Amino acid sequence: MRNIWFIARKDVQYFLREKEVLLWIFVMPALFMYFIGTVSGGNSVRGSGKDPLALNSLTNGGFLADELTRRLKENDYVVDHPPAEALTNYERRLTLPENFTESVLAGTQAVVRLERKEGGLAQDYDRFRIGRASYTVLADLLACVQAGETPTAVAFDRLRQMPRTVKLDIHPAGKRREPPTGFQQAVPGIMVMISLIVMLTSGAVSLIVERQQGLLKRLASAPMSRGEVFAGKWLGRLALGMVQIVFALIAGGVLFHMNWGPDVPFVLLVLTAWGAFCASFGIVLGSVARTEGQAIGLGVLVSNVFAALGGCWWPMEIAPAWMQAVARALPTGWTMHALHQLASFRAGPTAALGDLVLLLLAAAVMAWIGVRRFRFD
Amino acid sequence: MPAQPFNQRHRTVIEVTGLQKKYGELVAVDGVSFRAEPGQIFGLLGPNGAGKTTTIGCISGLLEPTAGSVRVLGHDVVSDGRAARQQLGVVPQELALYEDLSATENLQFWGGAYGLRGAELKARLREVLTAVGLLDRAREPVKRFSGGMKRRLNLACGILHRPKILLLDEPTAGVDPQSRMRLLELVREEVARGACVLYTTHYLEEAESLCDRLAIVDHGKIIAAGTLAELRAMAGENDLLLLNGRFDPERARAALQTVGGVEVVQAGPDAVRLASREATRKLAEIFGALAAGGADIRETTLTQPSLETLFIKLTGRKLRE
Repeated sequence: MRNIWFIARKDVQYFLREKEVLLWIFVMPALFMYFIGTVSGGNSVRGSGKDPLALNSLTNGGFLADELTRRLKENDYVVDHPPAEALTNYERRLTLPENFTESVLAGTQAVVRLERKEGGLAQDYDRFRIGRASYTVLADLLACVQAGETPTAVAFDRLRQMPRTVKLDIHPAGKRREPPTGFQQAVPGIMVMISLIVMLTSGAVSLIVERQQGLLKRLASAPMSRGEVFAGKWLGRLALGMVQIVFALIAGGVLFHMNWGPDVPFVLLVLTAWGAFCASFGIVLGSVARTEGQAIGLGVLVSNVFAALGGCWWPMEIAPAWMQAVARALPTGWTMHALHQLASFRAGPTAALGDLVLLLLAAAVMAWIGVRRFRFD
Repeated sequence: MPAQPFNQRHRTVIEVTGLQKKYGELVAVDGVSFRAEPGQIFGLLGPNGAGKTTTIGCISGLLEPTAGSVRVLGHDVVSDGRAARQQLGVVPQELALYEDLSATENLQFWGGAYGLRGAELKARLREVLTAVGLLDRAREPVKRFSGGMKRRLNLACGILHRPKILLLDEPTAGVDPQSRMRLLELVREEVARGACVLYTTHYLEEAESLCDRLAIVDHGKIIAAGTLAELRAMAGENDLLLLNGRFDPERARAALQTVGGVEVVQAGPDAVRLASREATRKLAEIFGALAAGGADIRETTLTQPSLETLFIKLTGRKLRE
């Protein structure tokens, strides 16, 4: 054990002197987390969970404009009325025409204009929510007229007190599962991806260099068994992976408010199994590849494919069924699934136990291949 | 009862018996046997690919012998490898050093690998760095060192833990004459301390100046072994004569039988090698006989008896061919 620890300790010291390793362990993950977390909605889900909306109500909006504002707030918007020059600071802007209430009550078409900086799913969601707010105003207007009342703010208030003739009663068919977005997806995803990249590049390349320079051969003539040399190399890589993982856990929490959920010890256990798999994989690649270029090329390729298909780039919960099936066959998929269960869905350790067992098995199989393929010269 | 000195307790520190190492059909080492004693430099001399490094690999435990046995201070290197390797200091042919680490850090690593720790390691670091003349550069990364400095550090890593047996695989390959002299001095100092040195080289002059006993290796076999004097005697008093040109090998052999005291070592279409006492006196007779045999001689080289001539006599070719 003393020899194993000696080799592992020296390897970690050696790794942590390399500028490239430091860059990929401490700097790049934080940068990737920031960029990917931000572009995938990192800032909107934080805090209240409500989206800011600028309401540009031109002259004489009237009580229907106030009514619409109230419905927008019910649909998870924070409605601001900024001055005209500040409107462009808002991602979402809603403009009501002049004399809005007057036009509507006169039966003239009033066009409400939504302007949004980005398209895609988020825009569709805005259209849905704003549409719902508008239609409920119109529905209440019709109800008011049908009851023979003159539509006024007071009449709308009275209508609100009345029981609705049709009510949609929603019951959960299971636990509500909102796929993690923003930093809740990006932080674990980037951590898992970059730890694999570091292990498959630096972890493999260092082994190749040691072999090419005769260092492994010299180590094989020292009074320690080959098993001890292998175990020391493996443990050194695991320790390096854990340095990176622990840093990402802390940085994710402190810088990006990543919530790791109530089962942090189990999260650590899953990530240790993931680190063990990466360490074994790094040694296999370092034993199979013949040159540094080969190891780097293969390492980057494999890491990216595993990351994309395993759910590191986007939540697997929103991916097509075939992609989810592929993810269930990959160690990256097991790790991300376990992290989502523990951190985002708060499903408890039992929901991630299967993933943990699979990861440990994969790490053991990969280590066995590593032992078989490990070459001293 | 006082402990006996190391070299009295163990008269044979390396015992290689019938060592064989095969790679598939290729026999790299074929039945090599020898013994080495404390305070002795045992040389393995041979051309590249002769099997010297493979022999060292088997002794150091890096390679498992296909057949035969290697014992180091009584420990079998296969069944009791850890105990055997504890006694060894290995200096490989390649510069097995961490280029980004300093000389001190490299020594700390290799010292640690052999179990040196704390104050003992610190003291030895200073001693060894002084011995190899690198004390003032001890904190610099090795990648800034010259080839000779790296060679000295390579040796320092092997002697740090005061091994009883030092395996040196071509330790002076590619170094400048000054560094070579310093390295050879260091080797002699280790021997003076009582260590046994197994030294492989293809430099004849190095083997002649350094080794107490020598084994000449070719194609994985020991073709001659003994002290320098014994080997020189084996070479005999015959000069070696190399004739280059065009020959009919059969006719050349037949023609040379007519010249008394001449032994044909090798006869080919481009060259003929002869061994003869006082060959210079017989040149005219030799040329005449070969000319009569249809030979066209273009170049003649005469070599006095030496390890080189012994090697040529035994193998029919030069050491570095």
